[in-house]
Amino acid sequence: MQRYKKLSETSEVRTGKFTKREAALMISEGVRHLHSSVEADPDGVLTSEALKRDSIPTYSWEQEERSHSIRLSSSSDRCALAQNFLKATSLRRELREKSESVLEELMTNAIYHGFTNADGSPRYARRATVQLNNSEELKILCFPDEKGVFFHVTDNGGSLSFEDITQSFKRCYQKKELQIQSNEQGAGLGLYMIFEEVTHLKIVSRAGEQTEVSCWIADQRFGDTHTFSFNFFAAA
Amino acid sequence: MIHNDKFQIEQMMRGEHRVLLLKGIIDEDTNLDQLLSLNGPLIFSFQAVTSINSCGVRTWVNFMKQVANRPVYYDGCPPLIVRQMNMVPSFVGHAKVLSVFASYICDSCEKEKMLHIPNKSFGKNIQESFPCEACGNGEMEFDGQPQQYFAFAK
Repeated sequence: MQRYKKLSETSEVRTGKFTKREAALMISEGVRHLHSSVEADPDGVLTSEALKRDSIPTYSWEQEERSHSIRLSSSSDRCALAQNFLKATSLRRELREKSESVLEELMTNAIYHGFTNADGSPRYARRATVQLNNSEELKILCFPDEKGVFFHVTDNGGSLSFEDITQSFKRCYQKKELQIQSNEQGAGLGLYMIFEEVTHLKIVSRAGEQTEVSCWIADQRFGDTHTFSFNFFAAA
Repeated sequence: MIHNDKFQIEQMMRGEHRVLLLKGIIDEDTNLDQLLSLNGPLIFSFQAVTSINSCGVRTWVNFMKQVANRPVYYDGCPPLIVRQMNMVPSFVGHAKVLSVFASYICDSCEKEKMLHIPNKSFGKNIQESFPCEACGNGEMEFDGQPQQYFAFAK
């Protein structure tokens, strides 16, 4: 069984009533586990008992077993995939548009940042149309229902680090005039936009092997906008 | 006027004003250079934009820097553009937002309706609810939180 750092060995679990911006600033300072209220952890996953376990906790919003599975093999398919899949659901407009945006950014990050060369440089240029080769996998699970949408995107590049997240949040939340990067691989807004739009975000990183990003976008009619969570787990 | 498979810009006259209607997807492939040669104020209608990604936001922000010395107006901004205006302040930059669309949903039949909201009503005096014409039973309610939605206007 893959061993992960116990929560107790990582930074503390931060709880309390705070805004997304306040949460992002805590994350940029090193907080890896955060939930904004008791309602954000209804299963009591992040409890003192969970801290003793070696396995990654699974949340009730992670609907993997009920999800539709999609495999993305080409970058040119991603926009149509996001729009067409969600158009077929009965989601209301705001939730559908948020979901399209989040799914587009998750897929884009996986393709253009997830897969790297031996020297760590991105394998694919942003403006290039990418056809993933047989060894490259980008798996997407989606489950929309009337209360929200679940996404789970897995790539076998394994390039997303906690430092990537802290740097992104520092730039996007602290320095408004420097929010946008000018490098060719992207604007540097993807993680920020995902965090802003989703309700729960969980990232599991196995460096050089796999990155899993799991998120839930709640329909705001049914939830409190101050209830959200962020969790980053890294393989030991 | 500008045309690629995903994105088009069309010119139309609204009275004596030239309005540039943006249609489709704004992303890393969107090229706005042709707009730089236009004279006069730039009035953009966003109501036909269907999607914008993070690179599209950058494309737009970079374009706005290039026209920093010209009057720019945004009209008919749909919710997906309003969300970018709130997340990325430089997306608005020096532009004046003339109007947005806001989404309303019926609490009974869940029918959705987009309401055009002029800038004089941003954040205040907006209709919180009105009767649903579709079902006749429910109230069309503002879908979201007005304070958050109109944060760009502060």
